[in-house]
Amino acid sequence: MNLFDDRTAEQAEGRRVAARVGIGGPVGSGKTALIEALIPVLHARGVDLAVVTNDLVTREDAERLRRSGLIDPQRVSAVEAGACPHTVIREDPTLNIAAGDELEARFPGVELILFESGGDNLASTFSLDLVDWWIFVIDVAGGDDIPRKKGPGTLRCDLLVINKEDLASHVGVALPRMMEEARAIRGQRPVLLTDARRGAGVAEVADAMLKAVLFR
Amino acid sequence: MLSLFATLWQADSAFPNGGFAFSNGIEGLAELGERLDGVGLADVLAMTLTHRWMGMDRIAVSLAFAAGEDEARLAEIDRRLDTATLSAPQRTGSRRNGLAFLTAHARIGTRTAAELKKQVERRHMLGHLPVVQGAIWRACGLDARSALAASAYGVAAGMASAAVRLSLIGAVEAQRCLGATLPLLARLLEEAGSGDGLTCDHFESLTPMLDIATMRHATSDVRLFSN
Repeated sequence: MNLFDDRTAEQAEGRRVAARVGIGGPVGSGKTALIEALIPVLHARGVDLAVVTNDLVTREDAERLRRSGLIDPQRVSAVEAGACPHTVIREDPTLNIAAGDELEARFPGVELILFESGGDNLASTFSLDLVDWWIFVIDVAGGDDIPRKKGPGTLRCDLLVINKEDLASHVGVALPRMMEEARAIRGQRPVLLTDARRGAGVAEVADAMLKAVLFR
Repeated sequence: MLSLFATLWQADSAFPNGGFAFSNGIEGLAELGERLDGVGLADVLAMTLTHRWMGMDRIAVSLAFAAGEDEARLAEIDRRLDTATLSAPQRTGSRRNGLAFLTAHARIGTRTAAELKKQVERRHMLGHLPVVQGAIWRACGLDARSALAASAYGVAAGMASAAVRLSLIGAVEAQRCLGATLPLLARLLEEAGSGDGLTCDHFESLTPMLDIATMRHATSDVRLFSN
């Protein structure tokens, strides 16, 4: 007996139109701030987008984006992580996939959906069932030894963002060495510096994302 | 033998179906101060299985399994289950969990899953978890009795897992509790029999404490689970 139908599975995949990008990283690294900074940049480039957040305990990140005035609140969906920020983006991304499908159904022109993970640790990675490409955000205030710890998040992401570059001198971080070590552990795959709150480096993040998933 | 393996596959907590995000009242009970240690959790599992699962999920899974690919019949069972479910968070959670379950099966290519998912997305069906489980598990090769076993075990294991993640009980103690619940599961399945003669008129549940806890939980600002 054939239990599976490859054609319908392909159709289920094929219905997806929007590119899906994950943005993960530790608590407080600036994932939401990066999304807030990216939204106007992406809008200015004519990208039709929506966001799915994965808050761990509250709906803080979803509500922050909805109230930001940067994006139609209807285009922000929240998925609870059930105490498992890893699980909801990797082992069982089905709630996030369904949330993305639902946004695509409600906004047929949407081209890009950003999935913000709940704050997690350096071992968190995104399932490729869920996203086409993903960013991992760390920040200088977390310590310049983070790249050396070689967490799967920092190693496997498509783009590593080191945020809060402006704080480096205040927290005793040697930024050039941190960047050099980050590039070394990633085999020269991309690493970008940002100060998301002031918008520094955000255009470069948008460039990398749009080139990778929308071929612009 | 295929049915046994299909049952193990579908009852495995590693199967992605969104279930990890729903405590189905456990977090609400904890917020109300209920002590959910080994004894307390065993009591909640027994109450849930006897007074909710037996009269709700069990009947929905049985009826949907019998309906198979009859979408009109599945939609009717779905509507009736929705109407018979008291608390809104329980209804919403069951529908979201059902859609996540369909999402996984549609991507896998399980027969009928993509079509059922479309029906839910077009609002022709509500997509309650036990209803889509009954229909999809038949397509996966489970027999009717195994489908009921997978459903009952999934409810108990999901609640025990939620209690562990809420640090109400240790992981090993939770498994002791779950193991101790297995004879009850077996007895309930025996009592359920073949399910001949069941209709949507038989839906019933009496779990007031769980329902109140679930409804109160919906207004809590700080929570780990969807319901």
